[in-house]
Amino acid sequence: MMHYNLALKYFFVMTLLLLLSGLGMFVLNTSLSIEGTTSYYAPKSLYGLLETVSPHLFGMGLIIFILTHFFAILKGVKQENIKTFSILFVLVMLVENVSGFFIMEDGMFFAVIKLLSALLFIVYTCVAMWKLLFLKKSF
Amino acid sequence: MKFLVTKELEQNRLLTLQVLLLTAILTLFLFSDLVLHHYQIGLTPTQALETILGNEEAFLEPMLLPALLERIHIDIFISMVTLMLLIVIYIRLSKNRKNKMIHLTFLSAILAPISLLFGYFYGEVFIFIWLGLFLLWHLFALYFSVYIFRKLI
Repeated sequence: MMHYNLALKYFFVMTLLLLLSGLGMFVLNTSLSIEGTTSYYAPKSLYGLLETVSPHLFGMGLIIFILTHFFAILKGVKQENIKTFSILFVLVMLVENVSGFFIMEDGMFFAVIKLLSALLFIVYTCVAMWKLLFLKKSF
Repeated sequence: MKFLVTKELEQNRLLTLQVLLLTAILTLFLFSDLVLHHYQIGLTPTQALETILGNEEAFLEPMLLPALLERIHIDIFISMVTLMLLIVIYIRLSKNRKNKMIHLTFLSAILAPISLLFGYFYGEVFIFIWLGLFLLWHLFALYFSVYIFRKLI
């Protein structure tokens, strides 16, 4: 693990940039408001939504795996806690991606879900990076 | 990615072959990424400037901000995955690894999209910087590929 610290730290910086650029696009498209989210997602076709969701499932899934698999390698990490954390991380990612499809049905409710899960995904990613960087053994 | 950095790499011929194939694909990707960017944005200063900032004389509109952000978002993800894979294999294989080289590669890949965004708002100098940094991280990544090939073949 020691040898890979350098590459890992740069990976964290790039992940942060990825989150920032994603958040930038999200703010531009939805203004981070319920009305903005509804009016952005509601008129989209199934194809239009899939065009966004499909690469995000791959990318977000990969990032979750890379971040969480380090906890399995590190010594002194409570496996049970990481198991719960990893499952919640994946669930938040799935909800974030899938909620877009339901905004057409019930705009208000699913727009709130979409906004909350997007913010929660950012929080989970930052927590995972924070734990790996500073609190390696106390997770 | 533990499967890529196992100590058994030198003894396990099958794993060596698989790592070689992965490196070959990543090398191919690096070249295709250069060609793709040449078509999408332009890898000459004039062409890049025209695509991003537009050209009034030629009636060319500047790139839209959401489109530019999407391009940057994709570029960050792709460079992150490519460099992590190549550098993790390089670290495992090299006995006297060049940390400076690793720093320069990651820094150029990180600063390239930031320069592109700055170029959109603050002018052409940053677009030239993006061009240089973009080519630089590709060159460094190719160096790592060649190093891996030389070590494993």
